[in-house]
Amino acid sequence: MAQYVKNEEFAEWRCDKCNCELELKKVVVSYLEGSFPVDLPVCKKCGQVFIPESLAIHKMLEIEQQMEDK
Amino acid sequence: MDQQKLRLLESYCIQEEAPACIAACPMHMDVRLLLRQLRDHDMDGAFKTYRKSIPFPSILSRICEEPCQKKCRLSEIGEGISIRALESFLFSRSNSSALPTMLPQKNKKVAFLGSGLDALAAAYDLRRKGYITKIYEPASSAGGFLKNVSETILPSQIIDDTCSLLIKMGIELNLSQHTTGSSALQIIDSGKFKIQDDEFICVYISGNLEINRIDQITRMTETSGIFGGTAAPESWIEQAADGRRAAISMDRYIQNVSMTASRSDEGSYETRLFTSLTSVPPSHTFIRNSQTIPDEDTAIQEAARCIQCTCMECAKGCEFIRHYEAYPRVYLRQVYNNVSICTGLRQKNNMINSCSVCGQCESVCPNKLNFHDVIRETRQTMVETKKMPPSAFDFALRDMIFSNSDAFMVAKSPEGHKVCSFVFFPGCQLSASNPAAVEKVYALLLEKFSDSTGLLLRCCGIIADWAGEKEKFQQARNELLQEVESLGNPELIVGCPGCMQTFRNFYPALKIRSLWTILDQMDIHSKQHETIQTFAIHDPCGARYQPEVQDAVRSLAKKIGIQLEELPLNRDQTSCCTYGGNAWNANRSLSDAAVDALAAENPHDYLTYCAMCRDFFLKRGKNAYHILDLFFDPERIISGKAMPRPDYSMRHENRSRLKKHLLKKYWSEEMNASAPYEKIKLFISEEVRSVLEERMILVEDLQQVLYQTLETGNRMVNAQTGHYLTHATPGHVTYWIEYLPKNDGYQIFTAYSHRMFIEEAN
Ligand code: SF4
Ligand code: SF4
Ligand code: SF4
Ligand SMILES: [Zn+2]
Repeated sequence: MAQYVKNEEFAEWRCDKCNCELELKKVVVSYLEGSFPVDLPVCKKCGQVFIPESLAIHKMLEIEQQMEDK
Repeated sequence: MDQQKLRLLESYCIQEEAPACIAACPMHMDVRLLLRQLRDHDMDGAFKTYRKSIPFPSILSRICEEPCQKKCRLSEIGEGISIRALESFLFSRSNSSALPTMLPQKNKKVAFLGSGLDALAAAYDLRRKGYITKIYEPASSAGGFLKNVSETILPSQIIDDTCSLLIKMGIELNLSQHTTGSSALQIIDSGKFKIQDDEFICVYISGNLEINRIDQITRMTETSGIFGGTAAPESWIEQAADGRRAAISMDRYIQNVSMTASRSDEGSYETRLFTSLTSVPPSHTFIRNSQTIPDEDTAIQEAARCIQCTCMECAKGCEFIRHYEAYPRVYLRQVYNNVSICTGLRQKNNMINSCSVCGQCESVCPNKLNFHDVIRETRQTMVETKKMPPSAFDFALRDMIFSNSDAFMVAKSPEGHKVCSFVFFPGCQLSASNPAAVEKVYALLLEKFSDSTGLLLRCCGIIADWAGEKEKFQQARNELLQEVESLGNPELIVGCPGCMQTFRNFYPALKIRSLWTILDQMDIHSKQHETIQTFAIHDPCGARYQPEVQDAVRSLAKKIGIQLEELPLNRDQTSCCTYGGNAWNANRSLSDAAVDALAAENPHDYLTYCAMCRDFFLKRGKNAYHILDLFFDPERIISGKAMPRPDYSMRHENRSRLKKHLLKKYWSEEMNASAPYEKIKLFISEEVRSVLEERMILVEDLQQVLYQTLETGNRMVNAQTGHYLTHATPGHVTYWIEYLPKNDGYQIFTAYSHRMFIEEAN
């Protein structure tokens, strides 16, 4: 299972709704015809996901582009 | 595109045809490569190139008639390259006694009667193919007529050395065979031949013999298995080529395969390669005496005169063609393969989506290869088969949806009229770039042209066509046609050259007229101003094949005091700013490079008449004006101050505001209430704004996300900064926003997006 987010990248963030810390958990992401699990920081209580900026603009973009060419 | 169409289109692109010199050489020596190698000081490489096609370098570098020089394109404007002298230079510094590579010996025998240059060349080729090769020569030395060449040009020692080389290769050279004229040849029943006590599968008879019926393609005589005779006793290089031609036939004869198949490129021919000489200065040969061997410096100088003939006309103005480092013939096949592939990566998707579909290549191509329609059709196929990458044109298509929504769309006759005879159609991007000019033009049209001029605000639909979205284009087209009909089928006064072209190509029934022709005829600035400034004029790709538009803009410019310089490719051959084809959306780095290259063509500020061209130049730091920027604001001509370039969000805002103003001013109408999210007030610094622009995130995207999430309360908070982070997916894209409430709105710190869908637990 791919893990793209380091602990220090979300250490400062908490879920505002639940006032609760985040932890890495398996989340399914999908695009076009593919889906796969990744470890992402989520709220321990409500499961709200956190995607850091660097993940979105680099790795996710790269994977999106690869999947678009399949 | 099927295989057949692919082949046909490929045949239009003649870039792979041989240059004139190689086509003229009967042996098709790769002159262009040899000269490049020599120019680059690669002497060994150059000699290898020579050796590869030429059997006897020592002989032919002295006596070849060099038909290549006569056909060299440089001879049309000066003198052709002295190729033979360079060959003799290369030969002089080579190891001449090296044996060529040879295939293992076959148990098959071929014989040669006589040893003229043609026979020696054929024997050399067949021996290299592994045949047991025997030569029977009546005279006491080999070479036939070669021995008549004067000793100063071809010393007999050279012929002797060549014979030694042939013997070293394993060729049996029988001299003084007085009994072996052609009469000594016995034909055995089984299709074999007997000479003395040896049996052969086929035989070659050397020289200009009286063999009337020799097939000119195969060089076989009426008798199967007997080949020979040269057709060109007056040309040494053609004699050698005849020998080679016969050797190919003899090999095929022995292997029992077709002797006539695919031989059209043998021997001298006229090439189809096009090479422009327009910017080539005339030059003259450095080789003063063709009978002495030039020194190294002279040889290199001479080789460097070669212009390395090639077509590549289409690459001159097109960054796309340059970027992928080939030419349309190659691209056609890549496009074809990319679409036909069933599984695996479609590596050319991005390439296909990076073309501006602007038609420049067709206009400059000597064979008028229409590449842009192949790209259009390919994109349509990709959309139909659901293989179009969603990110490629999404942003551009959303812009069209915006233009054709209530936020911008207007179709109205002037107040008090049900129908109108004219309607002003400024186009979506002029309205986005310079809404004030659109207002002024409309006022002017009402005042000076016809007070029954209506207003039609929307997109012509070309964005969908460029994206391969046939259905979306048809829908946009039908809507537009209905609106025109509801206005009583007025004539359209069009303010965008791209829209003009779209109407011409896809709306043949519409009556259209260009705004510039009308402005030019109105004589607003009737007094010819003194020329006060020089600009370079850039014709938008939409103006291609519209000379009356091109002329009208030039005339207008002159009237407002502008002197124009032309770009190297202009009018029908003009280059696209990459707005065309939505290429800027699919490949932003290529788009930037294309604009930079275009901007560098002339040091003056650019004058254009397409809003997007202007904004693309401004984005890359090139000062540029739309003709209307100057027409209504001649101060700018002197101040040299370009209009500010609106960012993507501003382009939306400008259009909506324009609609609002015009509705109020001319129809006393209020625009429909905007969506509730638009009331959310945002504070965005310049710096963040440019990040949003780079990431193609609009202010209204942020408003939508905040509107959705403020209600649910879903957000993260940063313990250090106190910033909130929220996200939502209003359409196909998920946006993340880092923000803080500020006064009556929100301050934005950053925003980013992705298209991947996150399956969240809630
Ligand atoms: S202009 Fe381009 S497409 Fe046309 S023949 Fe030359 S290389 Fe090929
Ligand atoms: S310029 Fe060079 S490539 Fe062109 S015809 Fe002459 S030798 Fe050949
Ligand atoms: S961008 Fe224009 S000139 Fe370049 S390949 Fe595409 S249609 Fe041809
Ligand atoms: Zn929570």
